[in-house]
Amino acid sequence: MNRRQFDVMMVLAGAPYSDDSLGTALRTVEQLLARDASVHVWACGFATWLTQVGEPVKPAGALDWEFSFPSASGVVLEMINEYPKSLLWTACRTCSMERRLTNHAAPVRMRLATQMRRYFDAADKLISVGVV
Amino acid sequence: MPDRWMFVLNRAEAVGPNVIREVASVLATTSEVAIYLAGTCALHHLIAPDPIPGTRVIVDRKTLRRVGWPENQVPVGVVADEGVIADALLDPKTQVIWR
Repeated sequence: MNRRQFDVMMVLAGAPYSDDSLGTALRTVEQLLARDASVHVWACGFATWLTQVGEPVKPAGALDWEFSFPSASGVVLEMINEYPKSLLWTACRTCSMERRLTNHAAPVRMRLATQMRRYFDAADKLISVGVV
Repeated sequence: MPDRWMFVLNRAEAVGPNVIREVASVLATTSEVAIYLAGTCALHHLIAPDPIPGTRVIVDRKTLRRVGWPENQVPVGVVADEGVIADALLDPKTQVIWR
């Protein structure tokens, strides 16, 4: 079966709140998309949290009640909507079910962890960020 | 063997103190090696810079802003954003390692 070829596949694992890796990774994806590259993100572990249906902004902060900052999932969903042709976001079904995080936003698809290997050859570069 | 390597180091606890250093040192003898420091790895660099001979250190701008640079005026070397990682990922001759 021929799969769509991507410039970069990024396996994103680990919890969004654990360290700065996720922020660096998301900004790297943004920069790749800005360069007209195609990107396939495979989210594992608690990174499956990023595409849950929910609030796209953070709760109001005490320093400025009027200004709203996007949440991490807000940033991700905006990217997916802005680059529907060049960004494919897959959430690991195994990790999602294990954590009861299966309520993903519409453009996100779920695939079993056992299928991840099939997509490796469909990317020019493969990068793994974080640990589950 | 790639012509160029980029190590993106983000979590100090995930970086073996000697493993990355040894690997990067060996690679630097035959290839261009860039070390992109972000997160806690960038903080370690700010506190006690210990560059690996033959490698080019790049410090993440976002991390520096978060910790108060450039107000602190710490000389850190080359400062850049994730665009350089994107460029490395899109360069077929560059291998990117992320830890």
